[in-house]
Amino acid sequence: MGQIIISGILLGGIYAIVSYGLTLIFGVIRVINFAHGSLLMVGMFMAYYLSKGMNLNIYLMMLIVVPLMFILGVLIQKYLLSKVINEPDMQLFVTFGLLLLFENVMLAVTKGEFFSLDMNMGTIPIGSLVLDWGRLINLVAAIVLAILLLLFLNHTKIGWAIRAVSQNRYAAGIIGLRVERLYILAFGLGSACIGIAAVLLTPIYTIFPHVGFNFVIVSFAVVILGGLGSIPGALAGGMIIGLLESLSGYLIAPELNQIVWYLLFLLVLFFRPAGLFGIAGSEEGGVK
Amino acid sequence: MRQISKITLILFLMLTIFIVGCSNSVSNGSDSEGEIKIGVIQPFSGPNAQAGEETFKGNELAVDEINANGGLLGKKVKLIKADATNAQEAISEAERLISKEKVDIITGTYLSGVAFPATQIANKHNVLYWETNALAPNITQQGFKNVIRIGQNSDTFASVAVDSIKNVVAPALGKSVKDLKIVIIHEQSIYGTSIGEMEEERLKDLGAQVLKRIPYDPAAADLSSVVNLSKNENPDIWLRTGYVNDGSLLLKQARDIGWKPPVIIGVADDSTYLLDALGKDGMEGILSISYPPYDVSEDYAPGIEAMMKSYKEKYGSDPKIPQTLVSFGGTKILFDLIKNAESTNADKIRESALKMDVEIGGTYPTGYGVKLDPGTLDNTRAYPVLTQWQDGKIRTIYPSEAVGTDAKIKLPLQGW
Repeated sequence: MGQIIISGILLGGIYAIVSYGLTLIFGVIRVINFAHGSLLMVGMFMAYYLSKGMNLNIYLMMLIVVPLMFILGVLIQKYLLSKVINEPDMQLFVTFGLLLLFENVMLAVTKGEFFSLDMNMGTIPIGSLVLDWGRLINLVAAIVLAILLLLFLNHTKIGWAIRAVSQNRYAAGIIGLRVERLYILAFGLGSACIGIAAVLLTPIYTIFPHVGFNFVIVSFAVVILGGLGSIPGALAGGMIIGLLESLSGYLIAPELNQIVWYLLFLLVLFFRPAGLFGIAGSEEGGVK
Repeated sequence: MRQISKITLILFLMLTIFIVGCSNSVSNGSDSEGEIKIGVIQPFSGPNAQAGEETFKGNELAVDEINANGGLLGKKVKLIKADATNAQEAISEAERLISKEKVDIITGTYLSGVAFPATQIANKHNVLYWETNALAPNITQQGFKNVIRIGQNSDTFASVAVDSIKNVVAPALGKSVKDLKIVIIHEQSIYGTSIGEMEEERLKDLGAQVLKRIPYDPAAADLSSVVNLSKNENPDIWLRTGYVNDGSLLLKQARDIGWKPPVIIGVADDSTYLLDALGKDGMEGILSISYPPYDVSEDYAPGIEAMMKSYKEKYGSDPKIPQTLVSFGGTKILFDLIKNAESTNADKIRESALKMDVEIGGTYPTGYGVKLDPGTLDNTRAYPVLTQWQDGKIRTIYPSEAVGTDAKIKLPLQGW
């Protein structure tokens, strides 16, 4: 049983780290980013190819992948989404179009083959229980990244500006904040977070053009469960869903493990639409 | 200016239509009496394009061979490609092959999801659908008289799994079948479920202890619950049916908790993608129920060496996937039946196929025998083989007549 709880917490770390980028972009720009999963996939391929090509440790690739993903995010916001800033429907189409674009380009490039890093990082035995390094590093990174993001948003001028824009972009504009620039920065930051997740997940998973799909639904659930735009909410939401999935998979049946958290997700939407960590009535939200 | 570019565009479009029209009329023009036309439905685009193309090469090599030997019934055989990656494309391409290209026979298919709808169109026109590759049980459960599956199916995969546990795995462990403890895991769609259920039933008939059968979602981001549930039972054999990415996740998660049972067997776990994911040491000793690989013996699979040679001459490399051999062997059986029936008519070929009685091994380059189940028209003797990862390579282990190397089974597995 202890092993199941450990597995659940480690899985929670994975679900949390893939959700920060989504909650940041959603919380600030109010765009439902359908391309979230495919950005993750692009980041994973970047990390894979760079690490193979330069024959360097995968975790070092963070230094390259994260800035590249930041730039990619900046370009998407600056040249695509900002053109349709007042048309939420069109924004959906743009992100959906990006999803199709990224996946099909990668399909053409990879011919649909599977790629994995053969990395056996070993395990840490604790009594009769076992932790694996890949997921443990990811969990620590998920907690550290949450703290850094919170510090940034709450204790820097740019962080305050981003929060101001997310709470009311018209008022923020009136007091002189440059809304468009902050949006570009927010999308860049969100993509950079996806880049961090991508590097951390590359040693754990097999990479193929649809790999993002395995994470995208669950990260939407995490974000809504935790409260839109809430970083601690995403961490807690990830943990709750990870534990639920692991426990129900073990105690009920592996084929039903997702149904349990879908049910919780529906209940939360029904009773607390602002999410567990959102302030009731704050569905209009903001970044916290 | 704008006017001019519009006119240019219209002219360009008309030209395109004209060219397309011409090329169509050319292919219609080749409709001659002196040819037997076989339509080949495969995914020639999209994520499975490479696999579709490789499978098609098996048909192509068989056709080259028969045409070099004077053709069939005094006619040359011609292949016509049809690209289908999903059900809608399968339907329209099957319609095109039959109505427009006027093919005599359709064959395929790397993807079961393409085969299933395509067989329905072939059935509507009573054209023979000659299935050499697809596995899904529902393809031959529609009661169609024109759909023959000459290749392996979930039933024969389950048979090989059970036979090899009985005949080579149990002796290698020094146990009797009745003492073997087995956990079966499989992905939850009809593919994994049908094989998993058959394995459970037949292993129980042999008296083996099937402790648990666990279905799982192959797209799940985490399969630790499957691994932990299996580990709790402490089985001798971990028997799996699934795909590549869930397979690599399961094996990695077993490694992550430091659990390696004495025997791991997977359906089609001879994939090099798994080798990429787990490395040579990780895969060492893992068993796979596989399509006949290219190391099976010439005695068991006569013609396999010639096939590999002509593949290399024509395409400049060694064959890449075993499905090429399977479609090559299946197409050769079709040609023998057309000769026997002296016709390409679906009913005549079915009659002749039902009479065919070829033992496993010694006749066709896959080693497959031929004996159709009169109900489903599945070939009950399309018998895959048991292989083992040894030092980063796949070695055929069972049936013993198929073993073309000096490879011997090595069990139990020794940790990760």
